Amino acid sequence: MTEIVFYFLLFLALYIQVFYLVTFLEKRREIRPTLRTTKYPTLSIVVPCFNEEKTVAKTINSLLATDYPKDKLEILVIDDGSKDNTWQVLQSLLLHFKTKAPLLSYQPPVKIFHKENGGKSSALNLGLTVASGEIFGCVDADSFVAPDAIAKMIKHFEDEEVMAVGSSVIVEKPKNMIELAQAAEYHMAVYVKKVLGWLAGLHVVAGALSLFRKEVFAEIGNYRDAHRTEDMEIIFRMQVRGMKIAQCHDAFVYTVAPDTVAKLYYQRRRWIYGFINNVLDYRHTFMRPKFGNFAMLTIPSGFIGIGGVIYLFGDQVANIITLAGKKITEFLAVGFSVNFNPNFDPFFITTKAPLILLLLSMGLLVATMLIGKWMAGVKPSFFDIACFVLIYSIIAPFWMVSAIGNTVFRRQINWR
Amino acid sequence: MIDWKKYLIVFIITAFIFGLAFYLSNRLSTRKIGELETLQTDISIDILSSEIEFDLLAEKSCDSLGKSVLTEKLGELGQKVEYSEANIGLTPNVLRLKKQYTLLEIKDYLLMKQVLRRCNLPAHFILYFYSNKNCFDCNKQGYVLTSLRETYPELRVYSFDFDLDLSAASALKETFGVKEPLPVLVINEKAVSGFQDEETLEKLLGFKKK
Repeated sequence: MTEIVFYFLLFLALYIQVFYLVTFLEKRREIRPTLRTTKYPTLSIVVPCFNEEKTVAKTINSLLATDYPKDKLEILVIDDGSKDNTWQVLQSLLLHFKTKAPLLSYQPPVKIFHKENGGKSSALNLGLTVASGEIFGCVDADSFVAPDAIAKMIKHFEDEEVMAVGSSVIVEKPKNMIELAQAAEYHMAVYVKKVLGWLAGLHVVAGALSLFRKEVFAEIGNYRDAHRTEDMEIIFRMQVRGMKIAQCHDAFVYTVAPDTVAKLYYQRRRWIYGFINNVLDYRHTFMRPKFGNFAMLTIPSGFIGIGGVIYLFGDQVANIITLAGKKITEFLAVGFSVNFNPNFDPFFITTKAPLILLLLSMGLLVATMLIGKWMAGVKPSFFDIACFVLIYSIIAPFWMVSAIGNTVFRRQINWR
Repeated sequence: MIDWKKYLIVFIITAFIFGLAFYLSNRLSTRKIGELETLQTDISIDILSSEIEFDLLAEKSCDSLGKSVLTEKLGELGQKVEYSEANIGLTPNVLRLKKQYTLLEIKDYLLMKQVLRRCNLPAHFILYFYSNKNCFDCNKQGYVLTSLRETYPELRVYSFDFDLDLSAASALKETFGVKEPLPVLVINEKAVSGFQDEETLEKLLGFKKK
């Protein structure tokens, strides 16, 4: 029985990987630098922040350093009842802008707002009420926008059907192994998101930097809390309405990634929990061809990923238990012994079909990361990929199981 | 909206990859079995050669036979057959190899017994009957025998799958009255049933602790 489940998951996992690769090969010629837009619509960027005293100033400065015309841009920073000095940092930043203004060729278009804590979606919604631009953007207060990113993303709105545009998120200066693992994962996401963009199957655009036509909200409503994954839910809602969402692979935004196992665990648990619960809320779309590749490919692939990781982990645990059982039997029989066999015989290399398929699937995963790195203009490297495989194969099953458990027992997951 | 043709093409590609992996795995298993067959042929030639050499030279051959490398080869074959059974499964090919291996073991045992007796050398044999079906003590016994063989290289251990359907093996069981419960060890032509620890075996074999 477990063997059937294994083959089934393996087949589906390979199917998805092949599907992405075939799409990529079909469209690879479209991977070229995005041209800058010549039309600059008015743009309101909302930066919701909660306890972001360390990074928010850098985020705002990165936005001011973009080449988007300042007279078309407004930056609305919304402090969502931070408990740290975020509000003070924002006030002094504004004061600094005022004193520096005579020296600048433009008045920094930054406005700051303070509200009681109500979650990211409430901060974004406040932003929606004060935003005056034709295009509405969201930038996380721990992320830094590349100078040409916005102008490149705006280019996609030249297609009148495009209602939202996503960016590529890159880990800001990864140092330790946890950050390096995420760096490799985010590179992979550059590729996966572009492919899903082509397939009209995106299920989320990065909260770190995303742009929407303002009219989208008039049509489908404001942000919802959506199990703390408002950036995912808004895309689900747009997909259901058949709205076109583009992915700008070379619009980069650099984000501060969790630097400890615990922080990564809580972030990912929230993401997976949000994914599962949003899918449950939108279960009427699941595997329904009328909702396109989003319903037929993206959502099922998320579940295959979760199922596959948990299965492989369970399998490894079972292997470890079997091996430990053997060692205990040996210990009971002959006491402690070290048997080291230096003669290596290739005869004993396993040549079972599932192992060959699993290795192939892993090979495709690595290839995907390398393609993503190429798309992100990053040199190929393997150390971060090794960190990813090592760290995620051990920890990911835990956040996945926890997210499922919290869903089953209807426990709400918090931000941090 | 949905490109069904693409879904189908990807399905065909994936199915092809799956098929290819199974084909590759099968080819590699066949190669391994081929390798084992070669090893088995080598061993049977060696046994036959030893037998003939022994018949021709009688006592004069004691020196060369005492240092036979056959045990090592037979050990290697045993490990590989066991590995194939666990990983490829008891397919008709693997079963045939296992039967041949069992016959080679019996042949080697009979020859060595004769040689050692005629050359007046001490004979230390263990015939070990085990089962792969729910026999926890068999696993334990296996470790003890491996350890014992490392301590006493002159000890010759021949293992037999109790459940193997082979008339020569049945004859061997009958000769020494091997009956369940397993494991059963035949030491100095006497069958002992149940798990035996290292110390007991040393006593039964007449070894003095090194």
